[in-house]
Amino acid sequence: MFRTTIFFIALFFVSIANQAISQDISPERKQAIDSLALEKVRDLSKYISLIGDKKTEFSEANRVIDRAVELFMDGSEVGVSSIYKPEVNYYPVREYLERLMRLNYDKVDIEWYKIQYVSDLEKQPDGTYVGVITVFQKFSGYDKEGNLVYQDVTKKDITVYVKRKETQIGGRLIGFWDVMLGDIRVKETAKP
Amino acid sequence: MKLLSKNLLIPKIIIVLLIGAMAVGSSGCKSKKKLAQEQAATEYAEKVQKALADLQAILDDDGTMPVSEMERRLNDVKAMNLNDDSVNEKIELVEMKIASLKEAWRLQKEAEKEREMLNAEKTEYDYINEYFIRIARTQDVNAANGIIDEALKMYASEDTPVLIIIHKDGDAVDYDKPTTIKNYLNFVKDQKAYNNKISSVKFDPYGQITELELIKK
Repeated sequence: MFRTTIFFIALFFVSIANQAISQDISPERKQAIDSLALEKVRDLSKYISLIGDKKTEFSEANRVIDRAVELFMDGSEVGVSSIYKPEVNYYPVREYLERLMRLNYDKVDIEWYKIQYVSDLEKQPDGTYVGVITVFQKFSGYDKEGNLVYQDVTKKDITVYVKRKETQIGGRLIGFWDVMLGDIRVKETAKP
Repeated sequence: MKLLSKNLLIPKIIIVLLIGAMAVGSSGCKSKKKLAQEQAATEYAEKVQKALADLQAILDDDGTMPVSEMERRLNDVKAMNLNDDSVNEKIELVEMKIASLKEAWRLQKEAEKEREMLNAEKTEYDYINEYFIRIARTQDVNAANGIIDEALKMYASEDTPVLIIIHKDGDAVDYDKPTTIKNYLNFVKDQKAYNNKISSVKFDPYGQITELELIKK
């Protein structure tokens, strides 16, 4: 009986805490944060497309890799899959991007689409908002004659972390939302 | 006997005269009242007709009569307190017309104000925005880098901070992670898109930009 009472009291406080968490920012503000996180994933999509593109100059590709890496939390990994292999290999972000730049194709097209939340941003006890955004990636590799030699469509889940931070700029305190991407996990890979 | 009948005859005559006088007086009074009533009715009808004509003139106006004049005429009609159904009906219609004209005028003023603000903003910061737009539209990387080098000359340094407002609610402002002008110009080049507008610019005494604040469109 005592344990049951304790359990319900704990449950009550947890529900109060959850309500307080979800009520501390307005829906408009929350929407702005949601959009910002989605935008970062779209930015990454463009960076990946540029890095994979054989027409991108080496120096430019390296600069873009630096910018892409900045979008991720330290230690994040990206999953790589193939329609020929059942297993998924995970690489640290920079290594993944560098491998992408050096892929053995004469032309590479990478397109991300259907970028949307699969799990909404939820505030965690430490104040960080965490959510999951799903994307579909269409990868196409061509040989020097322009023939399509490999193509797949991969569904990937990207964990996003958004945290409120402050910094001093020009003598004033600026409150900003820092969006960091976490692991990119492969959910399924198929022929298009 | 004759004297007696004479004595009786005099009061009779007086009574008859009195009755006659009263009858004449009464009928005169009645006709005066009736006349006054008829006159009042005529005046009222005339007032109603004038009020209806004034109100109709407001309703028929195609934009030549100022709203202030419409209001003045309406107030004159209302001050008459005619209490006539057809007049009251027209008063309502006129009030609706004036309210809609005022609303249209308010909206027009707001639009004008917004246009003026946009034009002012456009004129003031056009030359800064122009670079972002050109970079976003340039397909060739080397050409885009040339525009970036040109644009950077406007800034105090490559590290000039760029703040991007993602949400604003009164004094509460939320920003994206601050960046530098060099990184932002490269970002516009990489993304081939410029979806912000300039919110504010700070300059140093040499006219170079020391801080750029953008806001999401």
